[in-house]
Amino acid sequence: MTIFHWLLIAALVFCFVSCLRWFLKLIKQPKDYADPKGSVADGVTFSCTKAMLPTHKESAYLHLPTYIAGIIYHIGTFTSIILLLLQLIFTNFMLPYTGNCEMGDGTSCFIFSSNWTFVVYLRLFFAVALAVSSLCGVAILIKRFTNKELKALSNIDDYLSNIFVTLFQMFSAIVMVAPYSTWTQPALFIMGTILFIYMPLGKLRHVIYFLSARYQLGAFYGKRGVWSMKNKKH
Amino acid sequence: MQEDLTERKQKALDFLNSHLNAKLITALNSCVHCGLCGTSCQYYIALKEEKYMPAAKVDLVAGIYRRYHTFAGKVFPKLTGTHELDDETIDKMVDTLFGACTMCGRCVAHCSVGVDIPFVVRTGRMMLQQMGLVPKSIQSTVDAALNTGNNMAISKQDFIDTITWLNDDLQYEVNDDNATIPLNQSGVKMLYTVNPREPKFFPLSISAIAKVFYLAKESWTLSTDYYDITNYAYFVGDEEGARVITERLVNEAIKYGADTIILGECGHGSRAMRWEGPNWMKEKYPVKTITAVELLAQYIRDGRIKPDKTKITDLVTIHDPCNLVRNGGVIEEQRYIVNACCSNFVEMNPNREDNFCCGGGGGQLAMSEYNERRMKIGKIKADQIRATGAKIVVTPCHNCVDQLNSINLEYKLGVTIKTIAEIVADAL
Repeated sequence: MTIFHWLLIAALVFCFVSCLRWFLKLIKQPKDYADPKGSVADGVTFSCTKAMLPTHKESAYLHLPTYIAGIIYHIGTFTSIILLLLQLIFTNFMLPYTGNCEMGDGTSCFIFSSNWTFVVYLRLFFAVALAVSSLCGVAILIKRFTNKELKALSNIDDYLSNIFVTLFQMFSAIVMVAPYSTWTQPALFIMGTILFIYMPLGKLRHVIYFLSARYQLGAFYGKRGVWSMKNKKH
Repeated sequence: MQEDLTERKQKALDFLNSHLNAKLITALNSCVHCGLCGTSCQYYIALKEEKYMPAAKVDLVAGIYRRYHTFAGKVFPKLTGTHELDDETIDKMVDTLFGACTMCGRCVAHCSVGVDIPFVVRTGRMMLQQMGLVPKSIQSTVDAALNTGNNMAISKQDFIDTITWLNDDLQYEVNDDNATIPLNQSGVKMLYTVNPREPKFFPLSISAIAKVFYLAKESWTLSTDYYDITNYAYFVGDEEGARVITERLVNEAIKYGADTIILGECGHGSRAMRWEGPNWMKEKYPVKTITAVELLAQYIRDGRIKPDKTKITDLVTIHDPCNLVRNGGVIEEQRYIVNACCSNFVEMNPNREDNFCCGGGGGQLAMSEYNERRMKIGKIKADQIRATGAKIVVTPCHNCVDQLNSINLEYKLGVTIKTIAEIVADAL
């Protein structure tokens, strides 16, 4: 374990505790005394599925390129986080099998590492995919800089969040293509540390609030009988 | 004076602090400033200024929250774009939260995250209410409701006189000298409520519903003390006032032994009474509520009234009131009624929960200082109506009727605006 591992672990703990603190505040919902007309569960299900599709949301179908870029960008972010955690846990994560990778000798390896060809192709896949998602992040950033309305709406945090996440994805992609380089993984770990320390401070905390917002939205429309999975008009 | 304002600002901040429950915390932390909500808001569509984007309205309140309730906001206020609760912020809040939002909620379902934007706007209005900064025009409407029992300050005698005149009209209409519009009658099943605009400006809509009730043999009454379904206290963020208005109607129903309150054709009033009122009173009502639209649909389904759709042959369209439809779940009933009463019906596009507000919601009709904006955003509705080619626009909301009448004149649509009760009465 290097200093970069420990820094990342500390940042993760900080981020996790902060997120947990917010999450706990969201558990107790305000009591609603009105009699229901529809089903909260049905509304929440709709809110988290069909209601998010381009067929239902103007923010999606009227802005399809941005919507698609946003979806890819978010998939890239979560993928990068998962890859980072796996690299933190498995010292030889997705490195081609070298024959001396045994548990108990201070190293560990990932199950896929026994197949050289597969690992190389998998790394290449992730590298390309994350490069694409990073480009989506850059595109969103450019839009924020150049679109008059969006610029007026944005604050420093909006730019920083976008930059940090995009860089994080870029470093994830680089690690995938250059696993043996001495600087790539430490750089990724430093970027991950920055990201996880920054996450609780700014808008990136929507990782927690997004889920709560979708729940609230579905509960509101579900209880009032506006949104329903059974409604054929939906 | 300055000290007084400082105290009032503190009161607003204390109010925000005391209302930070899971719902509000979520709404204040969820907006990611993607800016995609603009195209769902009629103010932004019509006026094309950044300040009218729903996200910008949310940010006014969320920025204050971030400034006083987050670590980054307290230590690095510029980082997250926080707002001090200063005079500049307050001016912006009054102008956009009161003057540029109908709280229609159209942006909510289309928001990329699902932020409850009108809920944040209402929280901002509540903070302004705490500071005594509600626009005078709408505040006077609330004051009238609280002080006189109805928002138009109609005297009891004037109301009785109007109903007496309408009673004669009803007897003539149904050719029955025993037909009555019951006032303060005990032992009835239902208490009917009206928008005070009806006795004041549109008394024939009371005649219409009275005719329907007569033919359906309904057991009902109007109260001469509390009959006002509107609740502008809800719009100004005065929760205590809203509770008082709600409680009066519930108590009035109990007083006359009615087990159901019929929510007259008023979108926000129905929403306030049906969905928000129990939470202001912090208990379930001891009586039931039903909207007039649901009741009329039920009459037709049960065969208690038999409309003749050949009587109305003009092309008819429906305007969906936001608070009744998108925020109240009364979606298909008005379509069922109109299809039963009219031979030619066409939908507006978009419609149902996706419909655009007429422009009069959120208390806009009661705030004359924003009339120009209200008429500009009304163009979207005017274009929607014109595109249908309809001659009659039916809407189950008297505030919508007012706004639609205004845009009918402004944009020379040449249509007739009717309530649901009126269209049913015409078909009987």
